[in-house]
Amino acid sequence: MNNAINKEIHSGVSGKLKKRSYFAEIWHRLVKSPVAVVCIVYLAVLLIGIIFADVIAPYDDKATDLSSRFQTPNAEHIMGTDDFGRDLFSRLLHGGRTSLIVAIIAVAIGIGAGMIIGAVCGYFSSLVDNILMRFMDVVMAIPGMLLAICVSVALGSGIVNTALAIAVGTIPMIARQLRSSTLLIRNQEYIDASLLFGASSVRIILHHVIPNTLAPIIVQSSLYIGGSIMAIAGLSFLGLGVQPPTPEWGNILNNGLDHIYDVATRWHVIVFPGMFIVVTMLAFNMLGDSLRDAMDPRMRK
Amino acid sequence: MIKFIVRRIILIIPVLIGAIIIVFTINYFSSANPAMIKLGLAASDPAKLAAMEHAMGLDQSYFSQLGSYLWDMFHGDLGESYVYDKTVSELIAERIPNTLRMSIGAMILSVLVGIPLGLVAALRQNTAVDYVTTGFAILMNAIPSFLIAVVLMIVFSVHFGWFPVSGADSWRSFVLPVIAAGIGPITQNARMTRSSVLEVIRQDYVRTARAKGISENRVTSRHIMKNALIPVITLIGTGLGTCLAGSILVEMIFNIPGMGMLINSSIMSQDYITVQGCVLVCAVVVTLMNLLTDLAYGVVDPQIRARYAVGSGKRSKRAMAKAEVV
Amino acid sequence: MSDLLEIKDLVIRFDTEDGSVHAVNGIDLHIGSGETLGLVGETGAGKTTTALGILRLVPDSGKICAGSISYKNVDILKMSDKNILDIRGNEISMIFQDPMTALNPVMTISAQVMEVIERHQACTRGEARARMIEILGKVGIRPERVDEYPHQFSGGMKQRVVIAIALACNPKLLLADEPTTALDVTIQAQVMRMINDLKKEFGTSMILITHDLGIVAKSCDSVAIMYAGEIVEFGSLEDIFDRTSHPYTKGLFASMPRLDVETERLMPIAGLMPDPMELPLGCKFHPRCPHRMEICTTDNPQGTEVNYGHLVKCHLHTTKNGDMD
Repeated sequence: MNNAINKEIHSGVSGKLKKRSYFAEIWHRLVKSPVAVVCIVYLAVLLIGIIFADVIAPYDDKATDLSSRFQTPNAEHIMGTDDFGRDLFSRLLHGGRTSLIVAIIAVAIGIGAGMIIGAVCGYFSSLVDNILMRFMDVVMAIPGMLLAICVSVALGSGIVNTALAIAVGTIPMIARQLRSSTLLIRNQEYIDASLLFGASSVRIILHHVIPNTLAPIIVQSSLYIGGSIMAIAGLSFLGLGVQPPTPEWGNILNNGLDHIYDVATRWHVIVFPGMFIVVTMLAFNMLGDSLRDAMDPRMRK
Repeated sequence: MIKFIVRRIILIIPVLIGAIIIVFTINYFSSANPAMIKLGLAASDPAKLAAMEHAMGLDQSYFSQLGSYLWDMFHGDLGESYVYDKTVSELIAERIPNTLRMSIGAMILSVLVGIPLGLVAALRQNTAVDYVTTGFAILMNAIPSFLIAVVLMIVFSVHFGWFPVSGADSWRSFVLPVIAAGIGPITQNARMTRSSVLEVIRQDYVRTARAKGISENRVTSRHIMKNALIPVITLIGTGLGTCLAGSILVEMIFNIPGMGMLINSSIMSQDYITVQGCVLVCAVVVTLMNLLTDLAYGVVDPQIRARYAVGSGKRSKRAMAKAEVV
Repeated sequence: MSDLLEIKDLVIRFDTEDGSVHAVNGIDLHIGSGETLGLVGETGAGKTTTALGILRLVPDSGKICAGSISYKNVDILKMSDKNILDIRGNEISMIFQDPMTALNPVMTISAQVMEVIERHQACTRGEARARMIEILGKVGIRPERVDEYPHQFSGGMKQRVVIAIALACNPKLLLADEPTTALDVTIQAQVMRMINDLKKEFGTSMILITHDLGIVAKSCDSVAIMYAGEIVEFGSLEDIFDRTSHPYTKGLFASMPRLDVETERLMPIAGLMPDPMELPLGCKFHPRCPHRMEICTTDNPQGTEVNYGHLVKCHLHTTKNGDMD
């Protein structure tokens, strides 16, 4: 009986109906902005490209051909070839897959851990809160890139390890944000009402706190993915992160930078990977900005 | 006020100890064996390896190793490099001036260029000046600092030959690196200043100031800027961290012997205790900068100064809220 | 005697993304030396915009499209930027509505008052400081508190500071924009009395913006009733209170609780003020007017002088159809 009432209140009335119209409204406002539409279209095309990289890529991304090194873009290799004669376009498609997978895992880890820590801290504001938040302060004292270097050195290369290295720095930021919004929600009257129905702490966190703080976190995630792509490239530049021959935008660019003094004839090995990184970061950042504006009518000008 | 400063300085200590513990722990659980790295080829002899492990204290428990590392740190000793015949402190002392020169230069540049840029964009909102500035900021924010460094080097050093390609011999060597490391923080300061000024500009007290008949320049400098800069101060503080990280990557492009090159060569030679030391030194610098930021708040914002004078030990709610918004 | 300030056919419009907001639509006003004019109307009637227009402080999105504002026979709207700066805060000054936000939070009270004195009066820093302490003393702020910051004062005290800033240079004309709305009822009477006393002392003219007819009755010599950016009735205090002519003004009185007249119940005016983006054709008040006629929906009435100096903008009076009720 009790559970049935609970369920109705939680999922039926307050939950889904309201949420759907809320997100629909944001989407409606978002697609009004031409910048956002361009970003969404670019990211959609990119996503299709890297998901179906095996089909779309004209060559094997690891097949070397020493007889055709450093070809500038031509009919056979639309973005030219690299120092091992590998087709750059194919490598960038597969590399994008690696980069985006690492970025998404990193953001997922950061948001997941950050949300749990933040929600727990905000919900049990006491000793637990104090200890965890002081710990977060300490992590924030170390510049994100340096922390990523440290973790990356300790864990070694590989997709998951690189993602973890980048995620560590974002956890405290998300935790702090979530903690303050949890504190706000916790003092709402409907939480008291749920407690009256006998809902447990875990239930309240999962059904009320997290859904209600999700929207701003989603916006942030777009910005964090952009930041992660930048961080991955930075790690690759230091020789950390995902190691060749596995293609990844950062290490492809880093590889190209070895030929910086021959830039007049070998420009393509720097320009194309750089372009992919910059344009994708731009798209994620601008999409994040547009999302934030769409969600906050006050910010619209 | 002095009481507050002292308390704030004392509060730094647990943060730094915490940072040391985190960095030490990350390294402790890494797969590499310092004794093997130190011995190099000689590590194939198990007896020598065991002796070295014992000499380095690696056979002791995690806590006693952490304890002795902390104790040494307390005396300013960051340990001995696995690779070079020097202490980590010596290595860092050799390299840190170049890095500080670069990152502080980049930070100053970001303030001197970023804030006026944001101010102009806000005062000329929705004009060409605003669009160009904002567009530039968004674009530059999406380019990794090392890539900017590469472009600057190719154009101004290799092509035009205006600046040296590498080294740290004169001030000319630092011009391009400082610009490269500073561009990220410049754009962040510009964007933050712009939105902050736009927020302040429509406040009632700006209208009150205009109604006094004072010139528009004075309204801007005394009423708008003073208020608009409060949230920007946070960003300037965190900007040093960004500049530090940025200059570490940029150093490698321009071949400037600073901490960045030290970190990089230490990573290559698996000299992890040096990496650890460098990261900690950076954390100290950033923490001190945060302290200065907090004090700067007190200078600019009388409400916060009042709270400092009362001496509530916690960081002000407003400063914290602002930090979270950023 | 010529008037101190004369507004003729003033039109102010705000251009927004969604369309034009017609805030002020061709108003005429005049005020003589030492007089107090009450500008009465609902929120959004264009009262504050009119006052800001006099100082040329209408926000950037707004534009003064037509009309003239002559102050001492010089058109403010045609003045050079430098001349208007000399007038603001010196000859004409303004008391703003919300004291909580009208003061700069990072400057001391003394600095904010001295700023206006130093701008307009040739005096040393010491003289400016003495003047600042004097004027703040007049509004009831003790000398030992002048170097404090706004956050250390209550709302009522802040409003006193705002008044001190407005009066610091003995202006000829004071624009008081609902000076008491944001204050507690107990403080309201105090602040109003203080403004009136200071005004008498300095011989200042005042335009008092309010929606409180009680305050108008106590302080004003003449009254302008504003509705949807137009002045629908203008006259002396007696004209407006005893010979009320416009249906809107009558509605205002009927909706106000009174102690001297026995009424069964208050009669609020039905409906809401029109959206200034979509003003109705004809008389702006016709959708709510109990005496609506055919002509009201198509023609905007001209002002008619029903008595000497008593102007009404209503077809009931332009058609010489004297008997109303």
